[in-house]
Amino acid sequence: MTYGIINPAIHPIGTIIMKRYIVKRILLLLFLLFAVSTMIFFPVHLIPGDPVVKILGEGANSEDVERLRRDLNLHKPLFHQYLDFIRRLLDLSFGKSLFNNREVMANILKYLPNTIYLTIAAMTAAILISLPLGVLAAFKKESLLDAAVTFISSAGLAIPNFFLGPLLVIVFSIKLGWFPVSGCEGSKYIVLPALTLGTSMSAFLTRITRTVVSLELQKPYVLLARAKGLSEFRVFREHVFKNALIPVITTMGLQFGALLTGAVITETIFSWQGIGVLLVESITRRDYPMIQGLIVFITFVYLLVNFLVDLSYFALDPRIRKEVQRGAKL
Amino acid sequence: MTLKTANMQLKIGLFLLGFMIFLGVVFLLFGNFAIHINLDTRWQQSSSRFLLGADELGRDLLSCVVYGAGVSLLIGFAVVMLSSFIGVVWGLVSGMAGGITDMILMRIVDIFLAFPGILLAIALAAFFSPGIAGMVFILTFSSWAGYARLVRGEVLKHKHKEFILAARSYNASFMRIIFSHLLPLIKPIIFVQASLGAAGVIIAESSLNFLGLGLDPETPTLGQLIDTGVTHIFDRPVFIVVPGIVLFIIIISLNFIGEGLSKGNMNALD
Repeated sequence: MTYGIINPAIHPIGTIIMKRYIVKRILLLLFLLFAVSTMIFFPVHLIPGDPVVKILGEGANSEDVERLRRDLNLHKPLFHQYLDFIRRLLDLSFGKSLFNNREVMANILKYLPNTIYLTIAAMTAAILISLPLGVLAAFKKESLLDAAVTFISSAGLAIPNFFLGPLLVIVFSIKLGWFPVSGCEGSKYIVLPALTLGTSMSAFLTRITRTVVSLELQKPYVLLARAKGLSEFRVFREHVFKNALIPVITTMGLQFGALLTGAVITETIFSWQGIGVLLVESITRRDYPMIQGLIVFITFVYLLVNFLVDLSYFALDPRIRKEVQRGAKL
Repeated sequence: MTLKTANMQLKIGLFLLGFMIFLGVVFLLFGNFAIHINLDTRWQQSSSRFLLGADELGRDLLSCVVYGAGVSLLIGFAVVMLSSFIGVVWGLVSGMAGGITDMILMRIVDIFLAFPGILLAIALAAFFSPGIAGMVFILTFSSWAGYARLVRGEVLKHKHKEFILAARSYNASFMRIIFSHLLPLIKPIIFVQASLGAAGVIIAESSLNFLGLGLDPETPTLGQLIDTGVTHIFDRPVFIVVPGIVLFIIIISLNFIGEGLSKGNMNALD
């Protein structure tokens, strides 16, 4: 059973082919990193009109225009600019911000911990909400509870986070006064942003968990466990849980991209000082090197996580490992 | 999930979407439609003239919501039409050609799919300030690749089946094989992707408008209305709630249509 993505390891293919697959994935990753950077480089140069004039406004004096042109590296031929851009990516400085003249990477690293914190909190919230709901719905299939869970997850998938966030603020901050409206000073501040960011993921995870667990429940080993007289709870904990875990974990990895872009919006709602807020602020400041650096950085992180999720197939499931080894002997 | 519940879901989705459009049309015909900027009526409370009050530019909130929902649906429809068209052509060429052509076309698709979520759209909107056409362009640019990969996969699945072989054996032209044998098979899956995709496009479009990266502020959009609402969350929560609920209903109905169609397909194949 593959859940949405092709699982190359499920076929008896042997370690050589597995190695070849990993090498292929690494080459594809490098190619994508290169291509994505190139694609982010060019839009600035396709803008109708002069970006320098666009940043400074029409009335700027020519001295400032020249200085900024130099800062942006726009006085050189296009190909040179491109090489410079790639070089700065390779030395990991990602260029210089126009706003505070610091290295782009230094700015990103300053804001990054808050985003990581938010992302982990959102994932935790998603897991805590979705796993119990999904498992319960699978065990009580076609009951009222199952219908309710299905309905809630449909709603969770359809509610945009820039609507959910303010809604939670209205209810829990303004009406009930439980949590602060915005900011990021302490642990109380993370609750609403984490719920906002985690909701669509938990809706998705609930569905996957329900599907996976109910598929497992149809298998003969569950029948045997029940025949032995195990309670439903022990059937789940000792038998179903581990088997259902892998597709759930890989789904989480695949949802990571949605979490990253969701963070941009969630951080904006709650003035949570992460890289999403930095991105939106840089866009309003027309800080082009900063925007390019951030987009490239976020995409790189996303690609790396996807790559690791792909490889984790080999590590996580002993059945797949054995399958691969058996394939090698054939 | 049985065929019956799938049908039910499809019907609920179609009904909700139709109902929203009906309400909008009724309002346009009989309501007091006012989205022109009028600084005399700024922040007016609800009255018979402004059922839900007026915003900071003196525009009637309800009119703005109707207009914004229309803009969202229009953009969603246009983007889905364009990107599914590009995707179908791209995927058909890639899948039928095979070999090096297939590889190059698919690596290009990979590049477009490498960006997480709406990040590519954000990147483009950061550099251009789009109008409605620009918005359609940006969103098509960042969503066609999914259709291309889907169609190519379907083509590969069916390409070597007997019925294609049979068509070849009586000298059916290439175009005939595509239009009367392959496309009818792929069509249902594209419809599923298109209705789920429309929901995604509408979320992306309103997200961009919410972030202030979309249409100019004089064009009312649901995302921009919610953005205004957030800055006045203490005194005018209605600016968040009404556009938000309308957006939510549009998205959930499109999702229901897509899921209903997809489960219906799966059952039909069983």
